[in-house]
Amino acid sequence: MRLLVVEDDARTARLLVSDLADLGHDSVVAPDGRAALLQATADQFDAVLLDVMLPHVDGIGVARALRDRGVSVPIVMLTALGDLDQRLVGLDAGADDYLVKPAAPVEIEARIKAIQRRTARANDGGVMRAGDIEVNEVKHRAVRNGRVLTLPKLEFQMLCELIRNKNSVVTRQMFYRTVWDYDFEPATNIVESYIRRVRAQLCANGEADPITTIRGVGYMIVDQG
Amino acid sequence: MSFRPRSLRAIMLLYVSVIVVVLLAVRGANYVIVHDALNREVDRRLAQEAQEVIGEPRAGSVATMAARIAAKRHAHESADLLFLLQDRTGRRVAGNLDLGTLPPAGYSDFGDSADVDGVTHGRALVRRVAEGATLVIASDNDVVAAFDARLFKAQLVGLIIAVLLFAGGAGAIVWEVSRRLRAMQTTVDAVMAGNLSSRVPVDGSRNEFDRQASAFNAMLDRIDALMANVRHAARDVAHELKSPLARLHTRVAALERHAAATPLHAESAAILAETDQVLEIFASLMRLWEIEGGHRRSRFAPVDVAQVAHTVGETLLPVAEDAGDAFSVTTAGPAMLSGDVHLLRQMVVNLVENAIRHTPGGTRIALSVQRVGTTLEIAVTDDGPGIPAEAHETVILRFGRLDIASDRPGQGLGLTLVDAIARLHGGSLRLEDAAPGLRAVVALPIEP
Repeated sequence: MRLLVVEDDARTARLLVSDLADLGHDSVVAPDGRAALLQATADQFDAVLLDVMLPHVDGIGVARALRDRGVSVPIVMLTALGDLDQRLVGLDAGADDYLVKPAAPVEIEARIKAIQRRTARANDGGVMRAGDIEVNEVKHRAVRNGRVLTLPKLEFQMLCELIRNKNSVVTRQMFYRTVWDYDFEPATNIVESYIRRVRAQLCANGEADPITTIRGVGYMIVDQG
Repeated sequence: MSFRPRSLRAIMLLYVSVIVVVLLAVRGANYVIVHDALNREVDRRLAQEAQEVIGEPRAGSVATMAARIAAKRHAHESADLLFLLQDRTGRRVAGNLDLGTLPPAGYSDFGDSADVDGVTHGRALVRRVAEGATLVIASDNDVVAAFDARLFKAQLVGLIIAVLLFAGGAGAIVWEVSRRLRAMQTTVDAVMAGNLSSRVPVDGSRNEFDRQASAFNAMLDRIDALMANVRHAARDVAHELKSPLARLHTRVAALERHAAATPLHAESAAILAETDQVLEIFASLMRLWEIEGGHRRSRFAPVDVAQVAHTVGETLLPVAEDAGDAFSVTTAGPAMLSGDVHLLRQMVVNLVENAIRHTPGGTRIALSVQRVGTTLEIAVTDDGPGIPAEAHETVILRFGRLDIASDRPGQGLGLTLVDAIARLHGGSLRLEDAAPGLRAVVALPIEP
């Protein structure tokens, strides 16, 4: 992916760029809000990583200006901890997601991919597939290889998240955000407990486990098809 | 026993009382002195007139006295006096005074009842004179009495005005001082409650109260700045540490992935778990600072705590089951209050997680929400090993984890966060002995 990193602190920007390069992404750095606006409108990026505290125009202003100009690039806000209001204002201003600094590069990558999925999947009627698994979000129905799965609400939502983001990792934080609407990380292994139940349903007839665990990051469903 | 007034009001009351007593004494004495002087002057004149009628040294016969009286009645300086001279049989010999009955010898006052023409306040001097006769001289004191009455009224009005001025002044001083002290007390209370930005109102008059308020505010500014410094220093340190830690975490996670199926795998997995825990502590600390900052109060909205308990219960049931615990949720209808739904959710999650994590498998854990008077009580009760009563306060303190079994997970901030969230909502967390086990109760006021 080609990313625009908007960050006024040169050291943080350099580290972020190098971390993202390790994951195979090219980044361009904009040191302030004005430069970010120029770059983002003049050039094509797969996503913008936007720091909130910026000289000249702050991150929220940049997000709003980009959306006003019809630029629909995925925007992930990077905010300091303890500033929930800023996060909410950022989302209102047109950002697609927010992360608390310092965010792990895999988390950033996973968020960007999730945004791209959300925007790409416009008219699928709520039906998504990954291999032999099919879910209908609208009808709350999950089927594997013709067998209807009996998944309670939360487990079903987890499966939907995995399939929506198939072939890329869904992090624990993403599950907490989308399934539970938690803006904190619980101390117990809630995600693990639920994944175990989803797996039990998916593999009730001894089928192969479609969910891959990415240790320390999250889970992924790989669809070779 | 000595009485010393302590309150400003008591001091002022005592002060005004003393002033009133002193004023009453001074004004009273003033009146009595003038009143007596007037009366003495009247008596002196009556005595002098009598002496003139009787003659020197005490010689005059009845006939002589009658002649003198007749002469005086025509004299200008005696026009306001009335005379009567009776012989020993009680027959009038001379004079113009008509009295029903004679007053006793000496000075006496008479009024309307004496029925003397045109006199309502009179003073009479009765003297036995030669030949068994009786001389009566009376003066018309109406003018003196009117002056006396005016004098009394003037003293009374003066006294009332002075008392009102003193009492009003004292009241105004008490009111103003109390108002300023109340304003300061309100500020102190707010600061004690955690609102360090609260200040004593200053009206810009630069009077002593204003100067004191300004000095007090300057002290609060200083404390606030020092606190902010400490907070910022702690935050800076945390942020400085968190960036490298987050990068370390990324690298360790990558290492752990690459080390799969190598002899290094167990070690790298352990390092990853440790790094996770350090990052968790940081996240909890930052969260705590955010909550203690109090900014989230501005986003309070109506929340059904019973609903929160049910959704959290639903979420944590599989976790409790995986830990081998029996978990139940009891509520009694909707339980509304004004709060931050995200924080209340985290609070209930932390309470239940605390019970799951710090008890062995097979523990019974019950989450309940009930209304007790004007508060909502959110309680998590377990029948696990419990916590000794003397340690109840310690575990709520920051990092106050009970280190009975050091291999148990937890960084000791769970209950601190619960307490901070409870306090943000005007409530508190308390721990009780559930005999056996622990009961953690958060009491939140329904109207904060």
